[in-house]
Amino acid sequence: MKETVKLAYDIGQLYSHEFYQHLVYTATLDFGFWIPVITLLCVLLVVVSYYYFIDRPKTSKLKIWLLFLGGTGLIGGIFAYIKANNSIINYYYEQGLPTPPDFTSDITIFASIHFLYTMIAFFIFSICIKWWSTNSSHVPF
Amino acid sequence: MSKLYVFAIGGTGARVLKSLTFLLASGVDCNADEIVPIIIDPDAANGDVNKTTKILHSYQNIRSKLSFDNHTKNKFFRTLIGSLNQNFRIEIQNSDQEFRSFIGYNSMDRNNQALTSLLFSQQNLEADMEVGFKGNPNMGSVVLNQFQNSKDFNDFAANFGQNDRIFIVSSIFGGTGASGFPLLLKNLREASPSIPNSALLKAAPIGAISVLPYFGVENKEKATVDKATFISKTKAALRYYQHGVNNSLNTMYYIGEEPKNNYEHNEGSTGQQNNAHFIELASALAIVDFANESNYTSAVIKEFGIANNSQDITFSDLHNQTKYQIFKPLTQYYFKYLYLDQKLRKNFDAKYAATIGIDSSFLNTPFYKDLTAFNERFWEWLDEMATNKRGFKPFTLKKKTEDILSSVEGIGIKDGGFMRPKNYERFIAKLNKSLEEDNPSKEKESRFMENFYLATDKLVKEK
Repeated sequence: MKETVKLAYDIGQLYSHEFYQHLVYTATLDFGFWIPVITLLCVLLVVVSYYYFIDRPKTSKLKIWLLFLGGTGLIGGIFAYIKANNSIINYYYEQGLPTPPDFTSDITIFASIHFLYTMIAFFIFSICIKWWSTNSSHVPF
Repeated sequence: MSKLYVFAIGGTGARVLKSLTFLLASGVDCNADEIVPIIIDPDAANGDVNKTTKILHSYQNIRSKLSFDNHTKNKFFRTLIGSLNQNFRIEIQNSDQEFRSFIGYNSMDRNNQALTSLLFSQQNLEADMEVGFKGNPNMGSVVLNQFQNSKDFNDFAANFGQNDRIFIVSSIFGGTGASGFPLLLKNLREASPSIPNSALLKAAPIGAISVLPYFGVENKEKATVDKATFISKTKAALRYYQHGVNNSLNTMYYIGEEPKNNYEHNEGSTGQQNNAHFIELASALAIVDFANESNYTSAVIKEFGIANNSQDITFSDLHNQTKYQIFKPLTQYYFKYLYLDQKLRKNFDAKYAATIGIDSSFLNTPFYKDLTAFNERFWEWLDEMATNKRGFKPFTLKKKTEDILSSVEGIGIKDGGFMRPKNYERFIAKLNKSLEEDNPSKEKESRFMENFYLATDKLVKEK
């Protein structure tokens, strides 16, 4: 299960060998699993808030929904970048290993893929739970 | 099916009918399956009559696109308005000539000419009746006495049914109304056996309102209508009504007001287009009151009054019964007008609009165009009443305001609380919420109207 989730971030196979090993196989480095899980819960919370707590005529417009979609994706991407970066640094520090190599481009790819997944999750959650919203059930369509 | 035939005589009759149409459009409860307006005015080009006729046509067009069943909650345009003919008027035969020709003055012998000259002034004899009787009921009583022979009156009698009722609206201080009302009543109560359903007509519940002077006219040289005669004519007519009219009616309504406003003098025709006045709205309420009566006794006399002697009447100045009757419907329609005028186009992406299918193509339908024209006349009616004296100004009448829920004078409508939608956004939220009662199997027009009725109902109820 964990491995499947982690492998979902390897679309395009763009990572360096070392980063790929950390992402998929390093047992104590589960950022490839926990980041999507935490993100999914947060996205669900945002979507429920949009459709049921905020739920105002002013916000029930496609452009506002797109703002929420983009905003949530962006926050998800930033969260993924910071969390992955910190996890790897902590791992090297805890293992007493020398300074890790520069994973900037790998982490950026990881965060970008996460940004996309966050938006897809937002879209799917929206489609699933929008129906009972008083003002926003017609958004995005 | 019970119909209420409303005879509107003269310019005042037409203006009262206009007020009644707006009250029915806004959803004032009226216990009649159908209202059939019949205008009696020889002045075919009368501005007030034409305006009222156009408003009635718009109402009918809008109403024809709406469907009502047992589940329908919408009260906007609920009451059916029927018609005897295309222009709602009873044609007065041979009234398009000089009075002298009408009575055959020139063919009379010398003695009869002398007698006629005692009853009618030279000005009367030379008067062109194409523009009405110019405040001369003595002329009207001669000319209007023959309308019972007209085809339109015959059609009315032929259509009259078992539970149908009649209401007559007239002014007492002019020419057409003052003379036409007693004649019409006589022709109904003493209907000739040659008229269809004469027995039904004789026994029918009949109500009437006689409008006492409530405006003056500017003094003009050679003016044919003189406001100085209004009171004396009223006194004379009231004396006659006391014995010759009141007892023939089931309910007689009297209404009047100290004239505070002088209208521009017009003999009639297109120029006679007086501003709407609160008295006309109150007179229309008499029709509703009569329609809602359950037991008709005879010779009940009613008068109308307001609670506070205010010069600019608001809902708070009305007695509770009147306030209860008109506050909610008029406020609902007023809100609906403002929203359609100011916000509809900007909110096609709102849920209710997307669900019902309200978009720019809907705005181009004949239904919506009729509704827009009707609504503009509604606004004009409110505006005229507000600026008249005494004024009726229950709303702020500011189109551009964003603060729609504060636009009822003296009455606060509940607005959204902390972090909740306010004003127009609250309105849209109610429109969206009302979709819970939407019936997608109905036509778009009915769903649109029902949705707006339910939303405004919720807004006003939460005051």
